[in-house]
Amino acid sequence: MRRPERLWGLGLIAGLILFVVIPVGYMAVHSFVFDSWGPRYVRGAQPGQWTLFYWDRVLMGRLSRSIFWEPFSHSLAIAVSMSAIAIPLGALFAWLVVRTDIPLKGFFNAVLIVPYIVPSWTIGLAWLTLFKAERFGGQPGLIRSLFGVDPPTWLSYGLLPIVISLGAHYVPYTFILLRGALASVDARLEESAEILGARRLEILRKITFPLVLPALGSAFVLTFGKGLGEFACQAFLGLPIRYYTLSTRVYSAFEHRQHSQGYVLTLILILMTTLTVLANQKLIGARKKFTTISGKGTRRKPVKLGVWRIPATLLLLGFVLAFVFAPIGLIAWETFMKYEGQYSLSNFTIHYWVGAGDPMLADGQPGIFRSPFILGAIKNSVLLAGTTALLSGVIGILVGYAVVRTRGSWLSRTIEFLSFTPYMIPGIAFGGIYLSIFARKWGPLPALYGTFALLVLTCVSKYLPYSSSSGISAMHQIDPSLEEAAEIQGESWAGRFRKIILPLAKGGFLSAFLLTFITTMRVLDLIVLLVTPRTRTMTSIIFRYQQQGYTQHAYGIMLLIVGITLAGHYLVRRLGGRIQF
Amino acid sequence: MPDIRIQRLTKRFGEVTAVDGLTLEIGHGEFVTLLGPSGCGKTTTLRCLAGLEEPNEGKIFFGERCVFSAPHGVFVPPGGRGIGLVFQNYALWPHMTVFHNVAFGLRKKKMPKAEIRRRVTEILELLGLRGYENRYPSELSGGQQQRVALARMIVTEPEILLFDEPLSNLDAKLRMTLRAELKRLHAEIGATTVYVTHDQVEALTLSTRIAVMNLGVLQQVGSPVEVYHHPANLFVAEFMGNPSTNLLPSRVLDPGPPVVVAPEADPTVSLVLDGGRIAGDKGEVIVNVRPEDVEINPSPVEGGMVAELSAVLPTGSECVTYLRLGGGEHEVVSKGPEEMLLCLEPHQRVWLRFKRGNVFDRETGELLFSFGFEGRGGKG
Repeated sequence: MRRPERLWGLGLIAGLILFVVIPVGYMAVHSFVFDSWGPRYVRGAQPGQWTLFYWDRVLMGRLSRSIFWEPFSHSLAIAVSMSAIAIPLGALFAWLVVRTDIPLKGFFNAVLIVPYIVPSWTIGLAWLTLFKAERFGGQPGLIRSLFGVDPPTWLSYGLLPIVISLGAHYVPYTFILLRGALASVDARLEESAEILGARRLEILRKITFPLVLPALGSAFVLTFGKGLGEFACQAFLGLPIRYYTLSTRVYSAFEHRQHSQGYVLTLILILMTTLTVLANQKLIGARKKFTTISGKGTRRKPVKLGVWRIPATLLLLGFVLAFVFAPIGLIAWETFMKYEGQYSLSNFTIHYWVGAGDPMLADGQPGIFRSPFILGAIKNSVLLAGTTALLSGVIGILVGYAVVRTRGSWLSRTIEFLSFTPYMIPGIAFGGIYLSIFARKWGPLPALYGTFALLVLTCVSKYLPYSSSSGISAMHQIDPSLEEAAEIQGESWAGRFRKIILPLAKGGFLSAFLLTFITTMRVLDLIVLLVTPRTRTMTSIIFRYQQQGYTQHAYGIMLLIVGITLAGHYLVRRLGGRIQF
Repeated sequence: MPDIRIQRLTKRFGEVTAVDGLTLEIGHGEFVTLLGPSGCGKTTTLRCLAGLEEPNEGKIFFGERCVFSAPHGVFVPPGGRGIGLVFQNYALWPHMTVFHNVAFGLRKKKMPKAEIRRRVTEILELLGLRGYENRYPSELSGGQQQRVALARMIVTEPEILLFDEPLSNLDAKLRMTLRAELKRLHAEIGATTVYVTHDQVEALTLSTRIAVMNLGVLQQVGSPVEVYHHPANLFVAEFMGNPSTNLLPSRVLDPGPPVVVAPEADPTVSLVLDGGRIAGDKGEVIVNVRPEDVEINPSPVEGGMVAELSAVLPTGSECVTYLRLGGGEHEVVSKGPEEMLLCLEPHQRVWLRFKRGNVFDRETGELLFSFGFEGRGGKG
C-alpha cells in the first residue's frame, strides 16, 4: 500500500472515539439518570430512570451549598490567588534571568524549574512538616516543637497553604513560558526605540511588555485552569479540615460511589477547564500575530541592575531556598526521624528506610526497602510508567505521522482535535470517568476494575495530548521528501518507516518516553480512584499512608519519586528535550 | 531513452486546480524545463510524473508504457517508473553517510556488494566527491550536498531524470557552476530530463525546450529563443526577461501592412511596425519591446519618441536606464552596453527608437505579430 496513513488514521479515530468521546458522552447522558444510590434519596426512584435530580441537588438543592457552591468558590479562590503569586513572580524571574546582569544565571535557569518537575504536592507535604497542628491528629510539626503552641489552623491547612504551595509549584510554568517569549523578542525592536530616545523603563513598558503580553496571558489562563483541576495538594492540605474544592468533591463523590453526582461535578469542572483552554487558544492566535513580526532573537546587552542587583539576587536565592531546597530537605529529614516532631540527634534513625519492623513504630511496618508492600508499589509504579511511556511514544509517532502526512485533510484535523481533548479534562475527573465506565464490561472490553491494564489505559489516554504533540513535532522535522526519495527508489512503506522515519524520530521518541515516564511516576489524581491494593503505586500509597499517619514512610517514598523525576528530567535535558506543559 | 507523453493531465487539491488539462510531449533525450511563477503547477506536474501525486484526470506515457491513466485506472508507483528525482532541498537522509545515501537504490536492487561499491565510487568520482564517502550530509557544503543528490539519482541509471528547482537553495556563483555541470551531465547520460524552475535564466541556459505555465495552464512550449523573443501571449512576455519588458498600450492608426500605431504615452508619434498586419477592426494593441531593443539617441532622430532620463543603473557589464515618457506618466526601461550610456546625464532629454518587438491583442493578450526581426528595424 502506498499511503497507509489514511487507514491507520481511521483506526486512530475509532480508538479516540472509544476512549475519549464515548466516555465523556456517556457521563453527560448519565448525569441525568438515577444511579444505585438514587432510591435512597428519592422515594420510588429506579436506577436507570431519567431525572434532573442530580443537577438540581448539586446546583440548587438544600445541600448545594456544601456540595457545590462552597467548593466551587474555594476552587476559584485558589486558582485566582495562586495565579496571582505564580504569574508576577515567574515573569519577574524570567526577565531577571533572560535580560539582566544578575549573577548565577545558569544555576537559576536549572533550579527555578525544579518545583514544576517534582510532584505538585511536594511543597504541600513539606509545609505540613512545619505547620502541622496536633489537634488534627498525628504528630506535631516543627513550629509546635519549637514554640510549644499549635500554629493557627489557617496557617496549617486550607486556603493559605494550598495557595502558597501551588503558587510556588506554578512559578516555573510562567518562568518557562516568559523566558521563551522574552528571548524571542527581536532585539532590534527594542534597539529602534532606544535609538529614538526611549528610556529603559519606557522601552520595557511600551515595547517589551506588549510583545510578551499574549504569552503572559497564556500563562495566566493555563495556570488558572490547572489550579482548578489540581487535586493532590488540595486533598493533602484541605481534607483534614474538610476544606473542600471542586476536585476533591469529585473525588469523594466517586469514592462513595455516588456516580451520577460525580458526573455532574465532573462536567462542571471540565466545562471550566475547557473555557480556560479556549481562552488560551485565542491568546495563542494573538501571539502568532506577534511572532510573525519579530525576527530572530539576537544577542543583546543585558540590562544593568545597578543597586538592585543584590536585592534581586537575594530574592531569587530566597525563593530557591524556600521552595526548592527547603521542601526537599524537610521531607528528607522527616524520613530519618524516629518520632515525628522531635528535632534532635538522638531521634535520628534509618529505621524507616531499612528497618525490619518495630511494633512500636508505624504499627510495625518494616522500612521502605524491606516492605514487600512498598517494594511492590515501586515495582508497579515503574512498570506503569514504563508501559505508559512506551505505548504513548508509539501512539505519539503514529498520530504524528498520520496528522503530518495527511495535513490539511479532515482526517488530520479530527485526529489532532480528538487527541487534544483529554487536555481539557482534569486528572481526577478523567479517573472518575474511567472508573465508572471501564470498571465494568464495556463493549468488546472485559471488566477492567482492579487490573493493571486499566491504569495503563487511563494514563495513556490522558497523556495523549502530550504524546501526540511531541509525535507531531517530531514528524514535522522529517521532510516528506526524505521519504519520497526512498519511495522513488522503490522502497516499500514498511521499509521507509524502518530505514528513514524511525531512525530520524529516535531522539524525539526517547525524550518523549522519558517525559511521560516521569509524569506517570508522579501522578496521583488520575489513578487515585482506580488503584486497588494489588495495583497500588508509589503515589497511591503515599496518599494512603498520609491519611493513616505513616508519615515517614510516605515521605520516604515521596523522596524516591522526587529523585526519579529529577534524574529523568536531567536525562531529558541531556537529550535536548523540553519540559511538557 | 523513452519519450514522455502527457495527455490532458489534471490535478486538483480540494477546490484548487493545480494542473489544468496539461498536454505536453517531450522527445527522447530532450531537456525540457517547466517554467513559471510559484503556484503555477509546475512542481505538481513533476510530482505527477514521478508518481508522488496521483492526478485526477489524464494519461502519462513513458515511451510505450502507460504509467498513469485515469480512465483505465492505471497507476504505476514511483518505485516502478524507472525515474530519478532531485528535490529542491536535496532530501539527503541525514542519518546516512554519503556512501549509504548513494548506495540506497542499488541495495534495493539486490546488487552484489562489490558491484555496489564499484558503481558508487565511480559516480562519486564523476561528480568530484571522492573522499567524502564517509561524511554525513550535515558535514557537506550546499554544493556538495547537491552533487550527492545528483549522484544518488543517476547511480541507478534511470531513463528519465526529474529535477525540482535543484539549484534554488544555492548562492549565485555556485548556481552558475552547477548549471554548467548539469548541462555537461545531460550531454553525457542523454536521459530524458524534465526540470522545474522559476528562474528564467536557468531555463534559458539549460533547456532544449521551455514549457511556460501559469495558474495550472500551459502557456507556451518552445525553444528558449522562441519563448524569449516571440512570447505567445502577454503573460509569457512579462514573465520572461529581467528587467521586465516594456509594454506600451497603443491605438491602431493603420491596420497595414505596414501597421501604424500611436502609443498612449506619446500620441503624437506614429510607430511604423512592419512584419504583419492587424485583421478586423481592432483599435487597441499592446506593443512589447525588450529593454535591450530600446535604442537611445542623445539627439533628435526621425520618428523617435521624446523621453527624459530618470535613473541610470550601471551593473558592471551593462547598464539599465529608466526613462520617462509623456510628462512622466509612462516609463520605459532600456538595457545596453555601459559605455554607450556613460555620457548621459540625469533629466537629459533623449529620443527613443524600437529595434524589434511584438504586438499583442489588447483584449485577449495573444500575440498578433512580431516586428523588426530578420534584420529590419522598426523605422519611424
